[in-house]
Parts: sequence; C-alpha cells; structure tokens
Amino acid sequence: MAGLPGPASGQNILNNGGFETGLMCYGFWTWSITGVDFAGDYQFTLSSDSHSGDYSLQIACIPGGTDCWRAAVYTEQIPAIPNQNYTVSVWVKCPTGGGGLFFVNSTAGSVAGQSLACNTTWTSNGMNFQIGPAPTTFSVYVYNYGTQPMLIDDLVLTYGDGTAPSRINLHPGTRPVSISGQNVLVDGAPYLALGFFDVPRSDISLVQATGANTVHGLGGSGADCFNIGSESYLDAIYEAGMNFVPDSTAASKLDAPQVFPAIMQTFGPHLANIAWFLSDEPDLVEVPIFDYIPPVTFVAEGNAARGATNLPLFADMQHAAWSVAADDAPYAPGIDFWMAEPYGADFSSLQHATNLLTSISPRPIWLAQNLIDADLIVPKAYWAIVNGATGIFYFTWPAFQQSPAQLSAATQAFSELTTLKGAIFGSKMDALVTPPGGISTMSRFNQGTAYILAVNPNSQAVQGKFSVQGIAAGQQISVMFENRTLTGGAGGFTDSFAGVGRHVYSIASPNTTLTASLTNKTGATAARDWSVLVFNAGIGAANNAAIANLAFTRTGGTACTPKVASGTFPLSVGNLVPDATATGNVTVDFAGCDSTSKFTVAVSLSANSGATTATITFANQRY
Amino acid sequence: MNILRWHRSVLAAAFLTASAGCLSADPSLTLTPSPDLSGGPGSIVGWGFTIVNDTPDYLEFSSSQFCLNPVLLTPALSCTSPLTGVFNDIIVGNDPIIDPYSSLSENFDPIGFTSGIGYFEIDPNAAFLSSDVGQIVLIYDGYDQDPNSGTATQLLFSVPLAADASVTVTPEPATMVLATTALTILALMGLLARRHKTACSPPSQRRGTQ
Repeated sequence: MAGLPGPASGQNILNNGGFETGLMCYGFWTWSITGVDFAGDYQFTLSSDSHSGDYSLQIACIPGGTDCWRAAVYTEQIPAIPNQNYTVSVWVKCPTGGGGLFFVNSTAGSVAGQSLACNTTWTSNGMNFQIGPAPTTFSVYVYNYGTQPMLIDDLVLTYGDGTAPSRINLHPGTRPVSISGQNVLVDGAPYLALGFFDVPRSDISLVQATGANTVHGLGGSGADCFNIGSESYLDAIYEAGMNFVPDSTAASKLDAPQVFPAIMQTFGPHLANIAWFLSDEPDLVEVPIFDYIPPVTFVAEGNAARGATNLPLFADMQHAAWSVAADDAPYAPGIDFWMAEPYGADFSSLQHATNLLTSISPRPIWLAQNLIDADLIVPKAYWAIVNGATGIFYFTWPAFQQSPAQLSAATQAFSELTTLKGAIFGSKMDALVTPPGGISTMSRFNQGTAYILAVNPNSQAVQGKFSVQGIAAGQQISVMFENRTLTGGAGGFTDSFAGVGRHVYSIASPNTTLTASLTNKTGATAARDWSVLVFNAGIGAANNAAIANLAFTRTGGTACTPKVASGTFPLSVGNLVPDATATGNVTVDFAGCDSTSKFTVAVSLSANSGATTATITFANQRY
Repeated sequence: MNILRWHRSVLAAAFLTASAGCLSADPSLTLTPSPDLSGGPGSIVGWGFTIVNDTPDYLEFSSSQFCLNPVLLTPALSCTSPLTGVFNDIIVGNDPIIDPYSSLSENFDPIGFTSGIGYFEIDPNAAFLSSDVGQIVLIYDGYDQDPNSGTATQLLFSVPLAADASVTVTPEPATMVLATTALTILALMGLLARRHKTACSPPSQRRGTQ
C-alpha cells in the first residue's frame, strides 16, 4: 500500500531510518546467479541524493557488473510485541523499469510484503502489518531486483497508530577505557574479555550464567538500534553485569568515513560499551564487495571514529591466522587493538595469528573461536592466553547453545580463566621457567603466589621437567582444577600430559633467590660510584630488598684500603617481584689505589626482613 | 683506474671486510678436551680451555661456576649448583689477562690443579649414571689497557661467557667389571627363562605350530 500518512515528527522505532549513520543497525546481502551469494556484483554506497537529511542508501550494480540478480538491506532483529499492529514506510528512487520488494520477515515466518514502485522520483511506499502471537523478533527488508540503481531513504517503522516509543537509555555515559601496552584497561584495570557473538536479548541472563563478561555485537544487535518502550538491549546487558562491544561492520563497507563521527556520537555513549568493533574481515580481499575494505578507507574510518569516541577500536583480521604480515600491517593505523579468528582444532594457526599481529604492532589481541570440538575448547582457550590473547569470543551464542558439550566447555574455560585473571595479568616471570619440550607456558606472580599456565597443543604425550629458578626441594605445587599436588625437587618439578591439555600450577609462598652484578664504576678515585644491579631470580617476592654490604679483600697490586661511608648499608633497592631488577649505587673511597690494586668483592644482599640473604663474590675487581 | 688506486681499493675492501667481522665478534669459550666428562664417585675431572678474544678489550675474569641447565645469564647470572659434586675454580685464581684479538689455551692439570678452567669433585656417594648437565659460566670485565698497567679504564662490566658442560658419574673400573659380570649373568638367566617358558607353552601360544 503506497502513500501511507507519515508518522508524527520524529516517531520511529528505528534509530537509523534515514541512513545518516550509514548501515548501523542494518545488514546487507547479495544473491548471485553463481549460487555463491556474496559474489554478486552489487555495491552498497551512501548517496547525497537523499529524500531527507544528508544521505540515502544506494544499491547499484557495479559498472560492467553482470551478476546483479538481487540485493537487499535489512534491519537487525527488532524485538516484537505479540499481536501488535505496525506501519512501515520507505522512500525509494529508481529509474522506471527498475524494481524491488519491501518485505517483513519474523522469527515465525514472513509477515508482509509488496513491490516497490520505480518512477525516477522519490516515492513513498508503505504497508501495515500485524505481528502474530509467536514471533520474538522481526526484520524489515528492502530489495533491489535487477541492474537499475535504487536509492532508499527514510525507512520508518511505527505502531499502527503512527506512534513510536521514545528512545530509552537508562545508563548513558562513557566508561574509562584505554589501551596500555598489550592490555585493554576497563575502569582502570586490565580486562580479560570472555564472551559470545550474537546474543539475543532474551538470552542475556543465560550468557551471563556461563561466566561471560562481554557480548560482541557482530551478528546480533550492533548497538542500541531500536526504540521499544522498555530498557534497551545495552541497558539489559549492563544491568546483567556484562559489557558490550558495538559493531559497525556493515557501515564500514560503505566507503564513507564521514559518517563515523555520527555513528560514534549516536551509538557510543553507553556505560555498557567498552570497545568498538570497527569491521569484520576488512582484509579479506578474496571477497571484494562483501568483506574487503581498502586500507586507506579503513584507516580513514578509524581516524574519523576516534575523533568522536574514547572507545578503543578493533577489527577482525581474517588473514592473520594464515597469511603474512604485509596483508594486515596497512590496517594497523586504523585501530587500537587486534582481533583474529584462528578457528578450528588447529593450534598452530592461533600461534601464527598472535605472532603475526604482535610483529606488526604489539597491542592487545582478542580472538574469535569457532568450529572447535568440545574437548579442545578448554586447552585452546589456555593456548590463546599463553600466546598473549586477552580476550576470547565464541561464535556464535546460538550455535554453542545448541551444543551442550561445547557450552559446558566454554563455561569451564570462562570459569577457570576468570579465577586466574589476577595471575594472567600478574608480574611476568617467564624467564624463570623452562617447560619440557613441546609444552608452552605463561608464568606469572600475583599476590605472593607463582602461577604457571602450561599447555600441550599436540596429541603426543609429554612427560618432563619444568625447570624453575630458585624452587627448593620439597616445595609443594598445587595443580589447580585437578585436585592434585606435586612435590618439587631442587630446581623444578616433573609432570606429564596425556595429550592435548592444560595444567595450571600454583606455588604459594615460593622461595626468593637474589643475585647481583656489578654494572658500572664511575667517578673520581676518592668517590667511585659502583652500580650494583640486584636481580630477583626466584619465583617469590623480595620485599624490602637491599644491598647489605660490600666487603673488599685486597688480593694484589698497590696497597690501599677501600672505604664506604658508615650508614651506607643497608642500601634499599625496594620491593622486587620475580624476574625484576633494581640498581643500588655505592660510593667507595679508593684513595691510594690504582688499577693494579685488585680486590675480591663480596656483595651481600638481603630481603624479606632478613629471611632471604645471598652473597655474590667477584674476584679481580679494580677500582 | 690506475694500478695504485686499484690496490688501495682492494686493501680498503679487505679492511672493511675484516672490520665488519670484528664488529660482530664476542669472546668465545671452548672446553677441552671435551665439554662432557665422566668419572667415578669421589674422583676429580677437569676442563682445559681455549678462549678467543675477538674484541679490542683486555679481558679479566671475576668468577667461574658450573651451573645446571637452564642457566639464566642475564640480567645477572643466576646459577643452580650441581648435584653430583662441587666445581672448583682455577682460571679466576690464576687471573690471566687476555689481550685484544688474541687467544689463550690451557690444558687441565689433574695433578696440581694449576692450569685449566676448573675441576669437578664428584661426590663419593653420587649414584652411578647420574649426571649434571649445564654450563661453565665465566664472568669477565673488559679494559682499554692491561689492568695491571696501573692506568687502565674499565669498559665492560660483569659480562657472561659460557660453554655447555656435563659430568656423568660412571662406575669405577673394578666396580665396572663386577657390574658387567652381574649384568651378563642376569641376561643369561633371562634368556634361559624365556626359552624354558617357550618350550613349556601350550601349542596355541607357539608361533608356527598350527
């Protein structure tokens, strides 16, 4: 039914009916005569020939394109009110001879549809429909059939009486989020993102029950897109104690960086939002229209977005899991951190992705995971963390929900990794631990306990020794989540892996091992400044570490007596976590000495109120 | 290009090639006659060495240690002591100065312990075939002149120089004969027992009897 009365001014359930923020809140698709749908020759762009506002959406066959059968733009899933009457209208402009379809589809099946009129001028098309009692969501589709270009603008959805609820945002605002090194900081703390893609509003509580803390907007609701008269999708996520990552993939494919400030201003300010997913697979040059974005365009989009939001930007680099750095490096300036999708049972592609992205630019890395057997989910999640990832998202929630084994494994992974969050972001002490061959580890120190996350990515069994600097014979090692305890020997402990799997070792109150090195000597003979580097080479804390003494014993050369001013010792170098160093400078009076004067120097160290001591001896020292 | 200029170019190229080699050089340590030694419980084994100094500095050693693998050389040496015995220094006590672009070699003196890098006293109670696998680590300083000249300036501080090394505890010769005899007897007993068992097995468990 064409030419329905328009809604009251500003009345629209859709928050982007005029395409002023590109394809935010929409998806798009092409159908191909080849059967490979995304291979069709349609292109989606913004046009300044608009019915209102600055832009309309154009669906057109690319110049010279021969595969332009059908293409559509469609709203994301709109929450339905059972038995509600709705009115939907859209303005289109297309040459006479062109054509298309206006269509409503719901989770209970098709609802309504009608052909679109093409007469070279802007023409309104509208229809009324009623949602039945069953559907939970519905979408509105606008199709272009054939090779003629079609402009689409002012898609308006209202209740049957022409009204629409006003926008509700119960939790507007911006979270303190930033990037620090290879971590995303949320509310000032390193963030371990664990979650799913494509979470319907009705399942938010189920997702929260898995231990997930983040919902990824790709595939589901990209942002706060609909005015439905109750708390928004983002409000519901925030009130469930989770966070959200809005997605602008569809908008990013339009080659229209100029709309990104409006996108950020419209959809960014919500307390649930902690980062922004700029685009999915922009590097997938193999799918030129549907996925690929030239790096120049992508970087322009990122820069435009950055000017209007504090949310860190990231994107999923499809090539990272299997290709070369040159494919993804040009995209780096457009985003603040990385995502990759090393799917499946293969552990090596995950390592390839993290190594490649880090080689381009060391940033946080979040990973998408899919197509993975349930029994590999937990070890591969650990493998991701051990290889430097700080976020894991399973694709998709509906798929995992239908697989109890996969859902159980994902829940286990979330539970264990959440328990280990403090350890994962603890002080690095990787240099102090050497695993058996074939095993990869992450070694961290947190609140007095040393943790070793160990993964065997191969099906071959491994038994061997974990060499751990400073570990003492008899040290008890708890194997977390397995109710086992190991007893260490001098310098390490032994354990085995039956095949692919993970072990998590925690060592409470471990030993501290202090050592030292003389790293510099400067200044006049009567006031030489000796730099003493103190190194905590054990896996325990060295609190209040200090150089307790430097004792000189002359062993040759010109006779003289080095003197250190009284009160110099103990010389504090502070608290040293495992694998940390600090330097203390000691002034020594070598009056009467020359370089022939040789000394044996005993450097005494202490920490932990004298519970830890060491003496390091250097022979043949000259002033 | 005249012949003189040609000769100068060749010489310059040769010098640059040699210099490039020196720029990337570090001292090297080779243990002689072998890095891997063995001896009986209570015995002493030791290493000779060759140190090649490919640097412009005079090198002097401040410590030598035998450290079990894995050895942490930086940011400061963290050394796990061996388990089957004790390492004793020779080289640091002798305090040789190794001139720039020179080398020093010494054999181990097993009688007076006056030369070599050091020696390893194997614990009298060490278990047969136990071993310590690690590295001998020297720490050296570097000077612009011979530090015994009286006017040297120190340029390098506490630099590690390491070489793989191991000690394996083997039976003493007399014990070896006894052990070999015992093993031979055990092996023969085992062979006889297997033959007896095969002969007494029911036909269905014998190969080729069906």
